[in-house]
Amino acid sequence: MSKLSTILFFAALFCLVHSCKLPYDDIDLNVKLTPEYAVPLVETTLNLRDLFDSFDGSAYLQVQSDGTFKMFYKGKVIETLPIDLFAGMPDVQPIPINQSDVVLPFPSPAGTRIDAIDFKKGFFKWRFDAQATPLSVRITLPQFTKNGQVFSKTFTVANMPFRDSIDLNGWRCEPTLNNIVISYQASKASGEFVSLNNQGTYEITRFESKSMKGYFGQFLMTLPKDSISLDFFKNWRPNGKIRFTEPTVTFDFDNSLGFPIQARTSVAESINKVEQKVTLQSNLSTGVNLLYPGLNEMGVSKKSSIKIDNKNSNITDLTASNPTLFIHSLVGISNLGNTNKTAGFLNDDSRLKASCTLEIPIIGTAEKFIVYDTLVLDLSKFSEVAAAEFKITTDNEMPIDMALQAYFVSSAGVILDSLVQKEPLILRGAPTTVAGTTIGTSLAYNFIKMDAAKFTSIRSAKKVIVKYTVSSSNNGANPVRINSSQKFGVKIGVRVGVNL
Amino acid sequence: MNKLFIQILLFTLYISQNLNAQQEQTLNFATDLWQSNLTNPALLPSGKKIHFSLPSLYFNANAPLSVQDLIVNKSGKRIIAPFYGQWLDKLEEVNYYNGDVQMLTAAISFPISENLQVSGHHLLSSSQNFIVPRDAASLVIRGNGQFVGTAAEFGTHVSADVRSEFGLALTYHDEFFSIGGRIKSQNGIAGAFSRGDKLRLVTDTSFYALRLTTDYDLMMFEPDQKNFLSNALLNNGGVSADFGVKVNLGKLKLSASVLDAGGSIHWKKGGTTYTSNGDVDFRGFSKIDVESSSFHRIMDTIKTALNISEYQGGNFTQNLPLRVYIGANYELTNNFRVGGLLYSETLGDETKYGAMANVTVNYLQWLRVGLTLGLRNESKANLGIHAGLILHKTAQLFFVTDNILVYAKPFATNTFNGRIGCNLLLGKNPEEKLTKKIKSSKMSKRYGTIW
Repeated sequence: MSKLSTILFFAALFCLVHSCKLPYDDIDLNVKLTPEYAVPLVETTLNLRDLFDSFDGSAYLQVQSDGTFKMFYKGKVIETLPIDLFAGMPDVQPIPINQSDVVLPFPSPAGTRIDAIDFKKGFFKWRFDAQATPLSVRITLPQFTKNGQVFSKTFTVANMPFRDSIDLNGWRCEPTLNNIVISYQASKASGEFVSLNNQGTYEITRFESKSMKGYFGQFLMTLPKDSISLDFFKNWRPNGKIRFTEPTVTFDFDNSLGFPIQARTSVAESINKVEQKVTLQSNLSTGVNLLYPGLNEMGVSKKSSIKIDNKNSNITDLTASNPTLFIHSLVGISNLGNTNKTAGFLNDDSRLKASCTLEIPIIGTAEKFIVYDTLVLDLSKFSEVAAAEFKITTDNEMPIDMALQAYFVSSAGVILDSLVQKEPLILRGAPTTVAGTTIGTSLAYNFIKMDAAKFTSIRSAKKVIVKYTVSSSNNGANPVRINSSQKFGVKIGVRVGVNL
Repeated sequence: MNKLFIQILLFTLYISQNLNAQQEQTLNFATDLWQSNLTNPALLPSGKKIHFSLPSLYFNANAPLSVQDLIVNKSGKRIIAPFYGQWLDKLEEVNYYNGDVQMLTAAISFPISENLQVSGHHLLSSSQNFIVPRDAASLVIRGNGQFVGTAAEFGTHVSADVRSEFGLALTYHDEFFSIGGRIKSQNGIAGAFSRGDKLRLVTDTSFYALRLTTDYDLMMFEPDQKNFLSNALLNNGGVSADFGVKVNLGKLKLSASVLDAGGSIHWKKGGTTYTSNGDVDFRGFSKIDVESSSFHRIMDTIKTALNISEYQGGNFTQNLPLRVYIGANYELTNNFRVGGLLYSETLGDETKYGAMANVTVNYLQWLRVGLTLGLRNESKANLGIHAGLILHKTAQLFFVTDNILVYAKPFATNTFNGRIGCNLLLGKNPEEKLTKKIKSSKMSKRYGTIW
């Protein structure tokens, strides 16, 4: 091989060796540029009704004819127990028969006047101890009727002592000045009249009435205590102020008692989270007369509605205290002012029923009113996230400003970090007129950055406490109205750096 | 991120080769190799009667990136970090990754008469052709955060196949011209082809709402594992033809060829089609829910939104590119010649061109070395080489490449190719008789001997 071929051989060998020299030290597939993804998280529209979906119990939201919202909290229907005028009266003792016509006082409470009574239970009993037998005896109760027939019973007394009775169920008694008359007539088989005076007794056992007419005097009827949980204020803390300008409490009565009743509140107060109480002062505190059915309206209920508002009470003070509970107890007093002792009626199914409704139209002012909400959160699920920047776009048609802050809390309850470091996120409300009517929308863009260090610090968080600070327009100075057409549009997107 | 996908992509950048656009050109000048017959059926090597090709390898890679582009300096070390993605900035808006790995399993050429030579060959090839928008790679490596307010076009054209090819050629030659033709039977073994190529992701600015617009089909053809051989030889068939001519004008030789005329492969068996078509909007969840913010849940939702349907079956006609070689060689001396070549490659509406100049030296009877200077479509000048070394007058070792310089710094180049192998040269040299005959002819006296 010539010199040229030798040179070519070594030149090729040099090139080969040189080309095989690796230009790198290592291969590492783990060195990555953190990719950044931009994805939408949420696009939603909220209005006040959506917020109420999370409420429980008795609350509901109603849209008024003018489009404004009204919160409704309705209590239970409470009612009196069956009224027993004769409860507590001593048993009626046997009355000696000392003459043929005995005038017997009808056993009724003092201060009452029974004009008529339809019995549901009870017995009228008599006993004779005379030795002369057999006798024919007739008992007559001229004030006791049944189907238009006066009570009169004839029977033979063969042996002494003799006992007999009648079941009063279905019988009507119409006492005269609270007295009833009982007559007897006894004769031998020959027709000779015999006196049984001082040889027997009459007895009316404990009875129950189905219906009574008369004047029943003054007595107190207590309705069971009721309380209404006010969810709207439950999650709110009393740090700020919220004042609803037009709240009302309405007590609705349903009365089938046939005599005058005056209703009063024995208890009407609110309690907030720090156990502060505010007593409702209204006309119901001193008493309000209820409608009642007349004697010709037996079985009919008369409805009375007593509305307590900002003009006849201090109810705005009550709602301004951020109450979480409204407690009320009612009483009814019979025949108060019935000086003529006008007769009424009382059936065994007559009741006084009542219910309470608290209505809060969403009209008012709020100044740095704070609400907290707690969300369960497990950030360990976000292990692939290195950093994130949230973009929150809000389109607010509601006339309320909202400042948003959130705190990340560990399982031990320790606050690890906050969502926003300095000032909270401000979501501006829609502009309004002085009267509180919105005149536009408020569009806002907010960015929240969470870098890798921050994510590391909050990764052990198990829950997040969200703090909303709400103010109406002009920093709470002007009352505003929120209606059903106003929406709060929220769009949240995130640019997230991910370790894949 | 799908690491496997990235690895396959990077692997493809370097290993895959260009079937459609960058077929080797230097081989056309290596007329002492039977393999030049693959570029022009009229070309027959001089020398022995019978040429038998042992298994040889052809590889060609053409990618916009080199291994060097993947290197990152970190802590004083140079490490290859493909997922770091710094190489993304070097990509063009649209990037072509293409190539071919070809194993010529066997080829034989022998005379059947004084002027007729028959050739047959079989090869296995793997071809890939990806047209990848920069957005696609960028979307995978860097995410869609960079595309807020814009559209990311990430529809990637995929055309990849593994196939078997049988070819049978007949060449007529005399002292003045040669003419040849070859019929080729192609059978697809495995393939992946896209159709539509429209994948667009728009990320809006307000809260990054996403809109996916898709019109994309991806068809995958897999071989029947139980009947692999019959699958490889019979299924998914196609036919193409090569034609070539060479004219001897004394010291000047002119040649021309057309390859893969009317060629196509009809893929029918073993197909699975994945389709995504339509507009899909993803605007987040309708409820503020911390759980819904789980990144995995979001990504799952987006995947669902892509609405990819899958069904068994699907047909695809893979058209083969039509290639044209037009060459000329001029013999300056008995051992020294120069030449030129024009090359074109047409697939559908797109045609790419190449040109090459050649100088070949015959050295010491047993070594032939040629240098080429090629101009390729959208690439710089390439210095190529073709060399043939004959041992013991029978074994012919050869190496052909269009760009020899890249072998000095293979990690810094994004394009290289080469063909390496060994032929056996058997029988007596028919050219000796022919040479005597030609030397006595009038044409020879006027124009000189045949090379």
